[in-house]
Amino acid sequence: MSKFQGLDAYTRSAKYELLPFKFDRLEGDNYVITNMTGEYLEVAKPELHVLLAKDLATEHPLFASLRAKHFIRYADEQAPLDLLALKLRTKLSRLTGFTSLHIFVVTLRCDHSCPYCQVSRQMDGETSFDMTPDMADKALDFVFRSPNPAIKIEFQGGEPLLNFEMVRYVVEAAKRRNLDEKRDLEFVIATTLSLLTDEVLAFCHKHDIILSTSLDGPADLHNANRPRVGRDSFERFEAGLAKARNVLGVDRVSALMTTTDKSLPRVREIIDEYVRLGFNGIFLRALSPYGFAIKTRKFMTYDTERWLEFYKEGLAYILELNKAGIPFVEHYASLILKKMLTSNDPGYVDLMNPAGAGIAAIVFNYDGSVYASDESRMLAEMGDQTFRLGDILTDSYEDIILSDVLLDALEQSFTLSAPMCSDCAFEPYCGAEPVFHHAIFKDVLGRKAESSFCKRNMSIFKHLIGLMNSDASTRRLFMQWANAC
Amino acid sequence: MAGLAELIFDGQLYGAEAIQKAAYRAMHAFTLDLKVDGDNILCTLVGNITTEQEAFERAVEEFRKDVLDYQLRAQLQAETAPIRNLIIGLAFSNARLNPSE
Amino acid sequence: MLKLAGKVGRIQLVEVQDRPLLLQVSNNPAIPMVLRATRAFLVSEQELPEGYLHYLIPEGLEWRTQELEGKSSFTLLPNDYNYLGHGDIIRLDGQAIRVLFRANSGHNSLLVTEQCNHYCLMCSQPPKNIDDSWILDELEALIPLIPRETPEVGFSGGEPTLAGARFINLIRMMKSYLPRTVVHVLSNGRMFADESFARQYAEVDHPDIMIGIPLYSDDPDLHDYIVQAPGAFHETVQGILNLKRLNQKVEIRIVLHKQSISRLPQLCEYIARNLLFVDHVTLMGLEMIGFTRANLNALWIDPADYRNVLSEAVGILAAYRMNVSVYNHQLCLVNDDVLPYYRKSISDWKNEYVPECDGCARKSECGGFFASGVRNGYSRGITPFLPRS
Repeated sequence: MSKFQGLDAYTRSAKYELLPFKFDRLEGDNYVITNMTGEYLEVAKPELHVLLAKDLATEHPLFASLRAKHFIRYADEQAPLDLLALKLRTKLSRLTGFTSLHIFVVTLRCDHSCPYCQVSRQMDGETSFDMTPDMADKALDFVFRSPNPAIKIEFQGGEPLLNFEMVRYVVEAAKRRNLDEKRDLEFVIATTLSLLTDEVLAFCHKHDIILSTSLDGPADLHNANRPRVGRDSFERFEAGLAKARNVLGVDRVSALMTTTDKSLPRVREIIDEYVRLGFNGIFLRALSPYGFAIKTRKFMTYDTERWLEFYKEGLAYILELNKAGIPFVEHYASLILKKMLTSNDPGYVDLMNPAGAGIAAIVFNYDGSVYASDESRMLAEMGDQTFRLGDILTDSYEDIILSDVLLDALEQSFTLSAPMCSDCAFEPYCGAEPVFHHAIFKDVLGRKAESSFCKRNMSIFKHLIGLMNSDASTRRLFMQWANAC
Repeated sequence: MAGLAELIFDGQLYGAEAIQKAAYRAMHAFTLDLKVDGDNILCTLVGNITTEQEAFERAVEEFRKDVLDYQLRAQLQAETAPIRNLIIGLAFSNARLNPSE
Repeated sequence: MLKLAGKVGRIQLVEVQDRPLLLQVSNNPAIPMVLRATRAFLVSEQELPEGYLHYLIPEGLEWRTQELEGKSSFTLLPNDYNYLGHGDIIRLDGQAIRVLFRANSGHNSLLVTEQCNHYCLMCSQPPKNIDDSWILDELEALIPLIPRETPEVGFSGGEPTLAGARFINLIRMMKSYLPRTVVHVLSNGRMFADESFARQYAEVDHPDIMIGIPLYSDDPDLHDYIVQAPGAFHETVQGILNLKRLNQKVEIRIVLHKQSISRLPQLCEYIARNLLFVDHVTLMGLEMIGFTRANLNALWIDPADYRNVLSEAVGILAAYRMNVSVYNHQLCLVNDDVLPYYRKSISDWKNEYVPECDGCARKSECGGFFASGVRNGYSRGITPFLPRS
């Protein structure tokens, strides 16, 4: 009575069509292919050629996955196009929000004198390095011109707590305006915690302010990076951390590290320090080129290779921790994994295309200058004003946002029309980095073949793909990282 | 002593653009002189002063693979350009899309 | 397992009955006469209240027929129906009774039609290609009788949406008569690929309704094979997209057997990448009834052999923060990482157990088996949990 038909009856035999995708070599002759929304598959070279010639057999083990991940389709199928369009739209939807991160540099005064910092100046008293209320008001006008329903205001310096009155001024003024604006308003203060007082903490608690601090590693490493009169940066940090957590809550204090060449041999110790202090993740940051004189060749080859070793060792240690039952995240990997494994974009300024400068983040400096990004400001402090967009006191929102400086940088660095980037399989995971490339190459595009940004990121992309392919539990862990809020 | 290599590509099979793109990718190791001679494309690869011989040779090998890859990419790009535009059009059109909006 | 339909014993009718009788059952002797006139009274040892339209006498109380002889309509019920209770709704049709609704059950499922445009290898309700629109007539009569505090009602088939506008009308009636009742529809979703049908459905604007749509593979050919219908996958996906565009709740249901297990993690990744916005994903064990037995070779895989694949699948969906539930599995056959998503049972059919379960300390947490499973085959991996000392 069998009216049932076998699998053959439902297997299509027409020739398939290729959907848009890119490919690049992984290891040896193994390739990775990526579709328009960043979904990927590993394919061996001979298979890739057969695939491209549209000769891949339906029975081939890869065939079903190629179809499911929208690398191929049959010409009469509409669903793959609708789904790709939907995913693409989701990925791009963050752009319509426009600028979300607004950095207020309230003072250049600082109680530390870190060697790699370009921006800090004298200690107390000197108020000519402080932002004025006038500038703050105009900056807030600018902030609320952004259409984004979620606005983040971050205070930086120097040490913002040295001009706490300005922090207070901006927070209170912003909240007053927000009664009408009704945005989702978030405040962050980037501080070393060395100058935390009860009064400051009470204010932060009242207004739900997050503290973003620096932790470079164990005490000796941290103190070596962060000289302070009294040589007690770490001790003050640790005391401030406990106090802040107590008043604000453990989730309201986050830490970022600065990586110097002293950090490179000590990644496990640095992670251990984060674990010891109860942080649930670390952002293994790249070496910043801004602090050092930009030594192109040395910086490029030795330092990038050495940094990659540092990164991979750190990531491996973190995976061990997770296997041992200690949830701990590497944040840079999380950002990338979000782009690889979901249709969401993490909105991380340095990994955006079009570049995040201006359109995702903007900086209001203590002197009224407006910069396209934090890097732009640092570049200016080194003498290069290329990415200064204007003056908050004299220029209008349109002057600044529509300035040629900004628009040219965005357009020229756009990866989908950049040499090497436009063909690169990893482009969906990467970003345009006009300021960095301008700093190194004096050109917003840069020569990617010589760019440490490119080399570093490409190596990490391949590394993460390799890790996921070799171990299902790592793959699942990475999916969790990619989907964390 | 800078590395030096000469390669000949069949102009029927490989476009100059593929070769140039592959060379761009390799510029950390060498620079390229390109000359068309009838049906052939003659390539002279001149290693950078700072590139050692072994690194240069590895770069040449990668270059040869890259030329083929870029040639294939060009074909793939040409073939899928219409459908890519269709998908982008769908993505940007107001109608129909985004269930979660 | 409950018997829901069958022949009854002796019937006495004091009026001519030319069509089936739809009756609400009552065991309350105190309700007013106006209500008794449309209801059936469930006879017990107590005094018989007058004025009911019909009396149901359990066969164990046959002697009570004397009291009603010549006076009122009654039906003698076989012992199988001793479970009947207040608020249930029955159909009496000549020699037969059918229980259409049970007030006690959390999971009433109303069959809309036996027609279907699929022919799934593991179909538990094999399709019949006949005109059974009388069922729709009956449902339209039934819905107004359903108690208003009923928490949930399901619609199934066959393929319910084949009833077209009449299906949408049923949903509208559910909203009108049972505004506080959650509705769950089982459908292959293909009808919703037609935008105007999807829109009509959405326009009913039912306050709490979910459509459960099966998707068995990320490989369209494999899915089409499992449901035995070419083009099914694509139409189903279009249907899901249309429903979600209109903000309607959708659940994806995956029955686990040899065919769907083969690409289960890939299917879950496909759902996570393309259909992240669906409201729920359920993974269900195979029921050994209907067509399943005819296709056993293609379908049967011991759940003990796929427990790790199930863990991987659930892990993927959970990593993407989707709502996941696992049904119809015995507790000893799933890994610990599945437990947060394990649901004890999908219906309140009496949970049955097998000899291998003797002495198990966690029976009360386990869904047990369907009777069909006990009868027709189950895992060799059933192992009792030992009591913790």
